[in-house]
Amino acid sequence: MTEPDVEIIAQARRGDPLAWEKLVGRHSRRIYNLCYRFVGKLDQAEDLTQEAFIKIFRNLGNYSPESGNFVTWIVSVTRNLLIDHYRQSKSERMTVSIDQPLDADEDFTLLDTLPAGRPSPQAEVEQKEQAALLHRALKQLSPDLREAVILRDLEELTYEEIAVVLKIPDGTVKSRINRGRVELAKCIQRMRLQFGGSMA
Amino acid sequence: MRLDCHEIEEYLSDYLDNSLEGEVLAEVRQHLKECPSCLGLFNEIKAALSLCEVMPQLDPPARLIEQILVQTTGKYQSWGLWEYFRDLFRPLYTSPRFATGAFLAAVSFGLALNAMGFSFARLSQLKLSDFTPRAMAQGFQRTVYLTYDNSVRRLNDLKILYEIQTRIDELRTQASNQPAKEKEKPASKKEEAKPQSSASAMESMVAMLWSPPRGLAEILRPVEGVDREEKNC
Repeated sequence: MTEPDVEIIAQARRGDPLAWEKLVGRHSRRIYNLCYRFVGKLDQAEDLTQEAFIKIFRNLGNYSPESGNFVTWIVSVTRNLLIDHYRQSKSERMTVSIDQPLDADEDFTLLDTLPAGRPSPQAEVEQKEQAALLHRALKQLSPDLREAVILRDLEELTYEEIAVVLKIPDGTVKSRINRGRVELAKCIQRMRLQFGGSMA
Repeated sequence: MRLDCHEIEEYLSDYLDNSLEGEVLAEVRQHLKECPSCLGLFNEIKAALSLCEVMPQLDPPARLIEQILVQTTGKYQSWGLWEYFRDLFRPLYTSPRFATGAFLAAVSFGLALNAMGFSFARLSQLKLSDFTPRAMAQGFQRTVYLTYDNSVRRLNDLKILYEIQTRIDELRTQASNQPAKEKEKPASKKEEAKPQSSASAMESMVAMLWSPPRGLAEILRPVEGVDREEKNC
């Protein structure tokens, strides 16, 4: 049975490097994927994951188990970092046009990183196309809607956890998720029409 | 209550989560039956959420974890022996191209070792002193000299064999031409000419074989024997 987070966090706060290493090993996947879903680029996701962990390490003393779940806390720290990154990045502010050709840095990187070993090559290609489509549609959402959809439907956080992470009321969380899903579906619909049968 | 398409959109997500009740639920159901546009959007949302469920999670690269640890605690990752080897050989099982390259490199390394005089059969007899740069260079030099010596010897053997073959052909040609000349010339001259030609052929062969390469000693022994017997006669 794995050691609970609370004990490891306590050890890490006392300065135990092995405990910190365990925490990084346990949560790096979630943080890395969260960053990647948000920015859509592997190199940026790596940089942001690193920054997020540095921030978590420095603020570990501020975390108390009574105030909430550790996962919610680290996701909250990462989310703040992602929003800061979004605000700083001028290129992110530019609306991505559907007419724009597929960006090699984004979609093809994604295609390459998806695990292989599907039942058939055709099914594999289709799944990769679908995943690329989803990522591209996610990038077209506003950051508020994007983070709500990512946290709920990709990171599978509960509505309450998302409310804690985003520091907004439950009703607003629900509303953002609803709008985000509808916008995501509309984006995918438009892209399917644009690219025709190849994306279908 | 009658909801329009825009209002229905706001309920689609809740409808998918089965969190609608009563009049609103009935209204959304009815609307989806009648409105193909909203039904299409609903199906698209459902498809997008299914896609989200099967989206694979990416593994963070090992070097990222390493960087995080160095940046925070300033220490490297504490790996066990198995984890260390698994990471060391990770490219072998993640990239077939790299695995092929590594195999070819191993074969080349084996050939180079062989050239330096290393043999797996002599593995138990090896000493630490055999791995000094001097010993390895000597082994390599020895192999190069042996290879060169063998090549030169074989080349010389071929040259000699070619010469012998040429001489034999010449003798045969002379022997076949001899009867025609005998008819034209008197009998006394015929007797003098025959030993002269065969003697000169034999002399040239002996001159040729006078200092044979060491590798041909076995081949030449019977030829010299025949030569001596002929001279004794």
